[in-house]
Amino acid sequence: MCVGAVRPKLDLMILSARNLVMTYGIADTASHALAGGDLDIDAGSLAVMGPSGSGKSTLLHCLAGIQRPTAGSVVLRGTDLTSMSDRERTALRRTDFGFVFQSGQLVAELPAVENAALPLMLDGTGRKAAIRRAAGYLALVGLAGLEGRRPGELSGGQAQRVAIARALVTEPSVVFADEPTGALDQSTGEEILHVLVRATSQAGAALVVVTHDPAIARHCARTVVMRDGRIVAEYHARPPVPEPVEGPGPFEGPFLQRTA
Amino acid sequence: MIALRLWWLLLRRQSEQRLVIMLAVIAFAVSTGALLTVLGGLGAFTARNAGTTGGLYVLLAQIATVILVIPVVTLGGSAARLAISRRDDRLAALRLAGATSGQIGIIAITDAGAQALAGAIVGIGLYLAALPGVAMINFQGRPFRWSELLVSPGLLAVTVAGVVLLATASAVLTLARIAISPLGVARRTSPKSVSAIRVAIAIVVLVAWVPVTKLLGSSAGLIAGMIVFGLCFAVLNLIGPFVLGLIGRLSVNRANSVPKLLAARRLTDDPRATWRPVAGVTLATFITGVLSIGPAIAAQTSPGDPDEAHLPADMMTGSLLTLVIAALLAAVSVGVNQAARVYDLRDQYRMLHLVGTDASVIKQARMRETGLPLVASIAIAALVSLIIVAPFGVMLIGAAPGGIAMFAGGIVICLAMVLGAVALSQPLVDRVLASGSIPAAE
Repeated sequence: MCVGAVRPKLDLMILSARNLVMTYGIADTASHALAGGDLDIDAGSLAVMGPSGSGKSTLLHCLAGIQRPTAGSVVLRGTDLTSMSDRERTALRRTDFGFVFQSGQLVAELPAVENAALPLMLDGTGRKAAIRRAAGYLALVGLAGLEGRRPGELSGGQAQRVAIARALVTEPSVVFADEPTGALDQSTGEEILHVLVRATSQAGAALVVVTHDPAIARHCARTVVMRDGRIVAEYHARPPVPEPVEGPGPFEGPFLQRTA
Repeated sequence: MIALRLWWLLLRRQSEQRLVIMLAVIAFAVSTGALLTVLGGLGAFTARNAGTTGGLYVLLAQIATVILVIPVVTLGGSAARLAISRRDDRLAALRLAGATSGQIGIIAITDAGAQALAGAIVGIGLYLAALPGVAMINFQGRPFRWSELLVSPGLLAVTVAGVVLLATASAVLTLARIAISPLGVARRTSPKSVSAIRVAIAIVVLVAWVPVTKLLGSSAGLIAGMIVFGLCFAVLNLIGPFVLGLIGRLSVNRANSVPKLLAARRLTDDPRATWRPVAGVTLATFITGVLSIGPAIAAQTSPGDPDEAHLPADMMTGSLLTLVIAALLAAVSVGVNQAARVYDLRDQYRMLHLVGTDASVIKQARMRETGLPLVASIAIAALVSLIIVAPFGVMLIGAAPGGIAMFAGGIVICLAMVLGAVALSQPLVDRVLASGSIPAAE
């Protein structure tokens, strides 16, 4: 086990979505949750922002193989997720992706360490080995000593830390987080986001965070903004490749630079 | 009054709760129908044998009534729990909107009471529909007349009122255990332990049974016997959860797959909740065990009295009839409980599937978390029923082939019923998994 070691990435591009369309309903009553858009996920953190109903959760569901888009492709290491069976996508979610949701994601009957070990055990790792590795990730998110607590005995922030450990335990390529701080107070939310960004990068995974909170997006290296099922803007907090910029525009701070 | 108006408002806007409400009403209806049929039968025997020497018939009918009242009450209780606990989210939302906890209480209790009333009325229909069938059964050499089996309007009213009262009382008890705050329903933080005192009480009751059976000849002894017999049913519900907790603790450390681990943790976490789905079949198994001495006793009875010429055959008929009603109650209880359990765990199933759990793993976990309690409950019920039978001679079960067939057949039917209910409720789970949205994003 190598918690904290950065895994070498041969290819910076991990997941790439092309022309994603998601339509609910038929004919006249059809509504487009996603109206066609491209997005590449590379090693690093990406925030998906936008008002509610803008399609950001649908985008995450399609990227993570939870939903099959009406049209378009999502390619992970040369394989198109949209052509996979439900069973294959389930296996993929188990091994290649990690998930952090807003709340209610832990199994109430299992102690923290077993919750974190669950994805490993689901994939066939023996219980002892799974628990040992999960304990390492609990320590990584600052929960050493609380392995035996049940979700009901944890604070909201602690429960989110367990969820982060669970998301990382299989050493996924991408961690998807849907409003991970939505059920927390401001300062706990900040703290959890720090842990999420730091722990995913230490584990060598890319991070996709869906949020409507600009304060949270500031923690991420890249931000895309969605409206009506389309990506309407993209910002780089720290551009991956330095490029000449002509200085910030009138409404942009020194930190966020508009690139799209 | 405001609370009642709110309740009425909610009642007309609960389409998504329809399945749960239907289950509760079905459970209330079947328990009412069964209760009325049993009371009708008891009334028929009492009227038929008034002033004759057929007192034994009345006694046997009374025993059958005692045997069946317990599962009826148990089923009614779980229907009430179902009626009330499914409303958690809506009640929390009402609290958020400013309703007081008193108003919430009235809404929840009215809800349970109304569903019980609806169920009881449907139950009267079931009872009337079953009458022609029941009337065809021969006792004492002739079938019943319909008029014999009809309960008096007074008893009918008391029964309906009793069902509604039972539901309301269960609702009050359930409410007392949960706090509905504006932010949701707070239930518990740590595992609910089940104390070993349960075992001690069980032993006391079972030991008391032996001397009590010696007094059955006198009328006071008979009443005492009936009471202790009733307590033996309660004993099942006392030791069942305790034994499950024990099995859970023993199997947690050995669990090396997710289904095994989930099942074991559920057992240790809340033994009573895992006991509930099998409680119905436990009672049915217990009843089978007790009744399985019937055929042998029937075979040994030598009818000297002309009134009792039909007694051996009638005892067989009576035992089978009691069994059929017990099995029916168990089947409904199992079905309702499995559906309720899927409803309870739907967010968890959905979440497990999202993070990559195959539907087959969830299916295995469900089978296992019901299968373990099932085997344990049937073993406990069989054992306790043997203790009940012991004073009369355990050998009686084997003395007539019918006894063994009844005992073994009853156990097989109980196993099949519960595992069948788990399998039949799988489409509900599949539907939950297919809905596939992330809980927080709803």
